[in-house]
Amino acid sequence: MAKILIAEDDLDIRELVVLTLQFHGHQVISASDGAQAVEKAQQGSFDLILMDVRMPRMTGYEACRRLRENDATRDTPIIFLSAKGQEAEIQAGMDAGATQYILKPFAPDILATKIKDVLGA
Amino acid sequence: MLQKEQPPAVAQLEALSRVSNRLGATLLLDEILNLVLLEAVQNSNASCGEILLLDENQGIDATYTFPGPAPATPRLNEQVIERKSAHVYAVASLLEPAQAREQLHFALIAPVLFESRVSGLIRLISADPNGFADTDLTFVSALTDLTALAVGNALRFSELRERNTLLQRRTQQIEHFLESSRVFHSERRLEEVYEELVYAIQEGVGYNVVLLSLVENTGQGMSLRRVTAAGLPIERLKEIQKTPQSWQEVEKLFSPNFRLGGAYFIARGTSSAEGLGLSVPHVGDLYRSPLAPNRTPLEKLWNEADLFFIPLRDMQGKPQGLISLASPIDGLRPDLNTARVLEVFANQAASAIENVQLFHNMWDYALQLQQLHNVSQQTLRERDFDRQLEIILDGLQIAGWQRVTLTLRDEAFKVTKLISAGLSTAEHDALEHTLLPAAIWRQRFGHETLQQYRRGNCYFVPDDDPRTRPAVEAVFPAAAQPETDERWSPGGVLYRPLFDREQQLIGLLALASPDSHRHPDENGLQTIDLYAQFAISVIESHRMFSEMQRRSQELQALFDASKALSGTLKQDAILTAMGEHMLQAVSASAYTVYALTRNRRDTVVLRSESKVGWLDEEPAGTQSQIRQVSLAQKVIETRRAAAQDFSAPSTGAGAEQGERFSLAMLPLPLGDELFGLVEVIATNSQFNWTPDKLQLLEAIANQASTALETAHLVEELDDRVAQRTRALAEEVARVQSILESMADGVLVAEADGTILMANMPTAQYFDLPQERLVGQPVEKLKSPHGNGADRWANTVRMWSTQSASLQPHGAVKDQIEVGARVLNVHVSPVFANGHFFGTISIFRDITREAEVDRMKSEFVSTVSHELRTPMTSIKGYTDLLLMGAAGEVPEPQHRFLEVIRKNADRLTVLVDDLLDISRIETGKTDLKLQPVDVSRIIQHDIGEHVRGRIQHENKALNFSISLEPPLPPVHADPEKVTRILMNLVDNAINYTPDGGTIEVQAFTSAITHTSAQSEKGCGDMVCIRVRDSGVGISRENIERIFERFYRVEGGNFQDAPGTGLGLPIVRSLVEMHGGEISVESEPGVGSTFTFSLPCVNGDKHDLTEISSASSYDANARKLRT
Repeated sequence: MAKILIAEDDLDIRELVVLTLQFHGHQVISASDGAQAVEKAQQGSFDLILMDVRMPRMTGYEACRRLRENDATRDTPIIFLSAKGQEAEIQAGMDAGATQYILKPFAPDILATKIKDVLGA
Repeated sequence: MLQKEQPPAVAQLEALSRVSNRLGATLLLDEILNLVLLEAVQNSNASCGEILLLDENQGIDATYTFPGPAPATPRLNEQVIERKSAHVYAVASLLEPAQAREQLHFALIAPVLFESRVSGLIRLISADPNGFADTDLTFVSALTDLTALAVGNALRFSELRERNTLLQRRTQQIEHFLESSRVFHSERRLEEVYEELVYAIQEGVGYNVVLLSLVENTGQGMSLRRVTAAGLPIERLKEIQKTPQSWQEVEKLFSPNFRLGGAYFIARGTSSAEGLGLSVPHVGDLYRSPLAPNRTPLEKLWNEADLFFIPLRDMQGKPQGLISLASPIDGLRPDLNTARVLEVFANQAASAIENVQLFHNMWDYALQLQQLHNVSQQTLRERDFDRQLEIILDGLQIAGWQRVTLTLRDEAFKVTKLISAGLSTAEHDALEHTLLPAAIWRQRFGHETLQQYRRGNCYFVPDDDPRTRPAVEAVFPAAAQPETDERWSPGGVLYRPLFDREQQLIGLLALASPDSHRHPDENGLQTIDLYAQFAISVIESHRMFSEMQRRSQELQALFDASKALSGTLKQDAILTAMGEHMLQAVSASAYTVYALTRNRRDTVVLRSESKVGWLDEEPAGTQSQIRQVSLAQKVIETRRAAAQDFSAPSTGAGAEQGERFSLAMLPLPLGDELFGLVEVIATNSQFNWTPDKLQLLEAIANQASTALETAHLVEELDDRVAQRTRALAEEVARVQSILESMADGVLVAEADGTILMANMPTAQYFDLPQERLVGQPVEKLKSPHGNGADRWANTVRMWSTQSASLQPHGAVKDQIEVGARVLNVHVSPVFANGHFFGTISIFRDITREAEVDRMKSEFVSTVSHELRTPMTSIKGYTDLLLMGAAGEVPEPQHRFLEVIRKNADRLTVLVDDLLDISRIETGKTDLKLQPVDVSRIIQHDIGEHVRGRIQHENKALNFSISLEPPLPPVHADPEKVTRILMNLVDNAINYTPDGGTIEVQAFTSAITHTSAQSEKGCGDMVCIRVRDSGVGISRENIERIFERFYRVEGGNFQDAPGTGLGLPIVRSLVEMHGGEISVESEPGVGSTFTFSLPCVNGDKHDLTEISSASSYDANARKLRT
């Protein structure tokens, strides 16, 4: 049972992730863009943050960098969920401070497994 | 090009000069011949050479070879000996028939002519297809002349040496004799010995008066000379000595009637002997006769008119002389006893006289020889020729001739030199003018009358023969000393003609006024002969020396002229140099060079120079009449030099009218044509155009001709060069403008990396003016626009330092960023005549293409992103439904949802593959090369994946892994290797029905069958094989399975997952690694895919291509894929 923040501008995917995580018994808070994600992440302490890369107002990369600069979220695992699968894009995500990078489309049960892995680590 | 033609002529002349110098320094034939041969071979086109010395019968006497034996050409040798001139022969093959028959050889054979006999051959053989040049022939001919001189010198030297040895031996004998006889002779005068004799007889036989007379040969018969007497006053003796006595008359008295023992007694009145004056002159007043006893009968008493004498005979019985006796001390006529006593004395006297005379003569002769020896020693020390001759004359003076002259004669018997001894200066000077003209002399000496005056090798010409009188006067002034001795006619002259080895008269020795006032005896004549021979050898040596000196001077003159002539290429300078050297060479005064016009009638003066006032220099360029038309005509026709005397023009300012001058006309050839004529004028009245002088001038003219030819050639060449330069400039301009108008940048760098040429686009790309590029090092383009150009500049630089390992076709492509531009650069090394010349770089601006590329890949990226987002939802919600997140799903719906999920997955794979293939094909895929353990990937990743799928899809497949340890690490990108294998095993699983087998093998392969790699010289490869027992691929399909979107139609696997892009991606990835992939398949049996990857240790194929590993290398490879 963990407290997870999901930042995703696509409503369908955001709901898919929420449903999947809730199905696996997690508490899920959602944000619809990067800025909101940073804001919410700082308000409540999360065990894990899932983030899309391409989001309005603030990109996932930028948000990730911000979170890493903040003491409260510095060590919080951050997983990118992105359709950008090119090597350079993945590398950029990892450089921004991500813990994991999961390429869309993903199978919900695999997502759950990976989250479990990250939380357990 | 001309420079190359010029040196041989100079080198050949220098060689001639060296040989002639050596000739002057040594008489060793071997040394000179070896030098001649060496120079001949080295300074001509010959490959080997030989000098043969021939004997009288043309047999080979000696052979010299260099550098080794030359092939023999006996038939050609004979031809040259016959023709007596040098020839060049082309010979089909001088080698054995088996060898190179088709190869043409050349033989240059030149005869060595000595005294018009072929005494040797110089043979040169050339294997060069060009054979011998004309200059070679001339050069070798000149060498043969020098060789002839050397042969002659050696011959004369050995003769001279023999003669000297002979002379020396004789002198030594004489010296030995002198040594022994000196003791015996003890310096006593002959007369003293005679006196002793007569006094001994006076006492021993007992007569008051004893007279000794000796027989002498005066040349006019035998006569008796009164030598000495005992008991007679000197005045009386001298008185009777004046009366000559014919031996013939005396011999008549040797009659048996008067015989008394060995002596003769003729009583008074019994003979007419008194009239002969044989009797001892009246002595009655000296010796009184009363000594005889009174009773002695009258007939026994000595009468003053009685004759008592005994002949003296030598060992051979030849009469020596006579002893006459008178006034016996006892006053009695001689009886037999007296005669016998006298006989004993006479015998002793005869032998004494004979001995003494013998010694005396030999002593004299020995002294003469010693004198000659001294003379010869002195002469040898003396260098000056005149002085040498004077020493010889001095010797003759000491030998007893007060007045001696020696005249040297030329071929026409003209006097060329006069040396005298014992003549006053005035007499000598007078002689110089009155010497008998040659014609008369020859007439005299050829005349029979002279034969009667012959004495040995000499001729005695008395002053009273009207036929020879002028000759005598010519040699000695009429003022001959008053001579009283009747035995030598006072005005007489003894001549000794001097002949050389060829019996040519070369001089005349004239002797007069002998000390003895007598004709020379045999010994005397022999002495003269010795001096004469000595004089001959001195004269000959001198002639030889002068000849050598003259030759050497000629050669020097020729050498100087050639040097001067080869130093210029201007016609005027050549003609001036030629003229000047001609004047110098023969000491002539003026020259004119005429150029012949077409019709050969008019001539144009090219150069004219005169050192004589009246011979006006003709201004150059004037149309002029040749002075001697007929001579010129002759020279033009024969092409040979000719000489003629002519009279000075009457209008001449400085010359006396009608004065004779010598003119030589020489042809001046130019190639095969006659360029002009050279006129050389000598104003010295003594000047004589000898063949040697003409030859020398001809040689200089030929040298000038060669120089002229060269000059004309150069002129022509200059024209041609100018023409070609223009053409070349045009060509360059054309090329330049072509390069300039090219859209691509072109930059040519020299071997050292200096920019030689850069066109406008290049300058634009690098944002520098063209003129600031040329001459700069390529590094200049490195920094101003970032480091984009660094790799390129480094390559150009690297090649310049490692040009040796470069290959002509090793080009490298790269893509560099210069400022805002993206340039494609293609660099190739340029080789000219097999040498690394530099590099050419071609830049193409691909900024726009790069931009399109970027946009394309961005598009692909965006599209794939945009596709993935909805797919996430489709797949995600389907999964959620199937997971039962929205409650239990009934069976039919569950099956439909599975279909949706399967196709969503397939779509995802398709998007991924599309993205991959797009990136591979646009060259955007980077390989992260590193040592990779293939077995690990196979066992873990692939094994897991396959088992996972089998399990997941519930398939009944037999999967096995077969590795052949130890597998070396491969040089690869591990992710890509995994991808390749995944694709292959996925295919295998997809197309293999239940119950089948899938096998993954890996093994090492040595240098493989594949040609592409063996060319690169790669090392080991690791082969990985994925084998299945699936449906297989038909023959017509197997060739197309690597095509994009090609999927095998039909069969039971229509619904097998896959995009049709898997195999193309696999092949691309394998090839990117430098490996190969192949497939074998049989429908219904199965398929086998085999691909190879290079091992780490085999990773040098790319390095060899561009000679060094660098980061650029990796990039270059990336470009090539």
